Amino acid sequence: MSSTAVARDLLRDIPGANLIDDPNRLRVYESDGLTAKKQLPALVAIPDSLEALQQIVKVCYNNAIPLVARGAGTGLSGGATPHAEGVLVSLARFNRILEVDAKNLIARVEPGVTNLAISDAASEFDLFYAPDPSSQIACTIGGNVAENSGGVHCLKYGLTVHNVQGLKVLTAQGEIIEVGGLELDQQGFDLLAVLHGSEGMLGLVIEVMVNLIANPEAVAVLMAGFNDCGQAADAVGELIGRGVIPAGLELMDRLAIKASEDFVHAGYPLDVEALLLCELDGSEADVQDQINLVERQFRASGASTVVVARDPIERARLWQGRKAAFPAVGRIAPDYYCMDGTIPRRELSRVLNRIAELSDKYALRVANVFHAGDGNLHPLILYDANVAGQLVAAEAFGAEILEMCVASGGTITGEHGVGLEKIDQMCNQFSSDELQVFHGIKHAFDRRGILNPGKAIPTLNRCAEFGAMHVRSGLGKETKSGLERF
Amino acid sequence: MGGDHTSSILDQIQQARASGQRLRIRGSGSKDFLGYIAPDLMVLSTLQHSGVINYRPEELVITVRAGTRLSELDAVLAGAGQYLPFDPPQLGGDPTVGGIVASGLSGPGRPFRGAVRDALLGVTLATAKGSAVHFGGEVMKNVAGYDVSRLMVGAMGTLACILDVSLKVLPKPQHERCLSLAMPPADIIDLICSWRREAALTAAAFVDRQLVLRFSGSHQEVSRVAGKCPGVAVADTVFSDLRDLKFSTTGNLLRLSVAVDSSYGLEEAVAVDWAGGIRWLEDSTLDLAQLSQGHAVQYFGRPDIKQRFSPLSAGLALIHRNIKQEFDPTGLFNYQRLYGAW
Repeated sequence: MSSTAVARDLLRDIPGANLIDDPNRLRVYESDGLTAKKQLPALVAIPDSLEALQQIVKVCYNNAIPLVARGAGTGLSGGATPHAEGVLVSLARFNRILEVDAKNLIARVEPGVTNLAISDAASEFDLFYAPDPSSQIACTIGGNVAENSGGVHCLKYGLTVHNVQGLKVLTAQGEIIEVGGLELDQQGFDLLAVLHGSEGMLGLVIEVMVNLIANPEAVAVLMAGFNDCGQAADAVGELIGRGVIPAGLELMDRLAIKASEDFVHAGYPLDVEALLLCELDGSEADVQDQINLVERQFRASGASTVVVARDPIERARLWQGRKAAFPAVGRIAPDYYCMDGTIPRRELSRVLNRIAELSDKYALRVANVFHAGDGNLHPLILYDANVAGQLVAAEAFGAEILEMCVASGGTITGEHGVGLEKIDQMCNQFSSDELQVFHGIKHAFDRRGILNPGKAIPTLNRCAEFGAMHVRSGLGKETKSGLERF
Repeated sequence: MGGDHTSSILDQIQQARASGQRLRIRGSGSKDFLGYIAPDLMVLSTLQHSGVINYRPEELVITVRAGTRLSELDAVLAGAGQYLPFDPPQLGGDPTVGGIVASGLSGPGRPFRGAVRDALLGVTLATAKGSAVHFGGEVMKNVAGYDVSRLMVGAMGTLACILDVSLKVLPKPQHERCLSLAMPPADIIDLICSWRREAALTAAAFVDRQLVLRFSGSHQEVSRVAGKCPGVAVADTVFSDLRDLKFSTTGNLLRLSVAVDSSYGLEEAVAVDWAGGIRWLEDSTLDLAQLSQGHAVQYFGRPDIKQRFSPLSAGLALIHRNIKQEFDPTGLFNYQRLYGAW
């Protein structure tokens, strides 16, 4: 019997499971935002109640059926790519905002609520939810927890893990656990942190308690143009070294500026090599002082132009250019490969130079649009999948950038996750002892390895095959269950 | 002394493992009162393994060895106008960084500036197998693999021995002002909740029947916000004294963690910290296993009583036990320090 038939037979009597097994309808779910990896699942379930979801998980656990959870499918690393023999569970129907508690400064929401909808609901109380990934109109909070999503305001306000106080989670066995809550600290181990960024491999998030922050009295955005990309990169460290922590600090290079300006006409200067966008927030008086300080500092760092947007319309226009940069770059090349690595800020200038050299080596253009304040790079490698060899070259180029991030004291992923995309690069960043610690955590949560198998943490065997790691004979075969554990 | 003693610590772990000797990881001993200390444990001292490994003020990150004393860390940071935002308790001693991370205790600024776990960026650990492993790093954003670094915070050394840690640091605020207002405990919560919206508020507590508030930031901002508060100026030591439990006379304290706006334990509390989220109860008759809200820790408990932390729910207890089993299957590290079963 096919995997689809087996899973369908086991799940079809669950009321509210809403199964899909028609291959044409399954195709909707064949990938997330990493469209290079496509895989039809055996079955899709779109449960409409917690009871239905819980039963699906229990059946999958008891029958060792792989289960992949999916929110909006906006992830960029293949975290929600289906498993050929597994059930893809969409949490789209868990989309209620349960409570906005302005006194405790929290909101309780279901996992399928979009990121932006939380701030929209909180705005009634003059509050907002800080992490704001670029996909915030579509991406869901459950996925944000699974990926520990960032955004443009991480520098001051932190990642998802810093802004979530509690989770309700369905374990691999289908039991409900509550981690964190209304208290400001947790009992025992920091499971809240472990669940953040765990890419759906340790449990299914069924409720999220997020922290809300009072809207700042004043916000300003400065745009500084530089005639040298390295100077712009150095200006980032120089500003933070002066004790200024902007709410956001973004860098765009010449190719990204041109693409964005042609697309949305934000008013970016076209005669510069790089732009910095700097957002400041706080009280009126503090923001005014900081504007002056930042403007002076940018000029001292070599900025040729500095523009201050004070009214909300002008601010929104400057941000629009940044937020539209990825689709704008999509207009100037048939395909692009979006990378995500983090490096210490002091390495920005050197690494950007090296990326430019690699661009010549691979004969592929690169646009840089990224969270400079966090040292979180997003090189967009432009290629044409219809030209023989270009996809392979783009992937090799990307791999070399990630190796450079690790060698510079950084990491292979700042906010997009490992998923399927970077699973081989994990072998570069971690030793076999370290990977075994990850496998131990997975095993502690999911004895049978049913949750999102094959993602995020490579097996030692895989790393041995990847050739980046020496594995002693037999070590890679230590699996504790019949299923491949990851 | 000081310097890199990684290999000595790994050797001691391997020897203990071979001989079946359980270890008690210890830094300065400033938190000997926290958690149960089982008999027949051999001390694995981290004190010699100390010193700053890397400090780049413009990166807002410092990496230090676990045995480094807080006083040394504070002095190094102060030299560059920076500080640890989570304000770790000193408790009359000079704690080590390893103990600060393992205990996960944060000071009065926690609701406003984040906890130890929020500032932790990376760790190097000595595992129960006697190998050194590294997770996280010195960058703010890092989602490669599970967050093992933060798993160490509050684990009380039951999973691994912390060797080195990287912490996010921040520029010191230009100015601070503390104000106090006399009022009954029942009135403090609503007032604190209304003040919590002010970004300049960086601590709110209740001690000696006074609500005390701390405002931090630029001179103009502190003056503007504090000007709206009718309180009397007090020295900022009010918060370091609170953090270090100087209000306690009996030494028998229960730390109750609840929702900020809860009334539970509010009237009986000898002190309230974390904007209402922590209630300190002296000589409390509350049973750790029978709390109707939140969770609690017994400080300075009787030596014979193992249970110092309120018990976990069945689901969480299972995951905790599984994690302990994966990290330290033979119970080498800090046996029974956190929970009696392991």
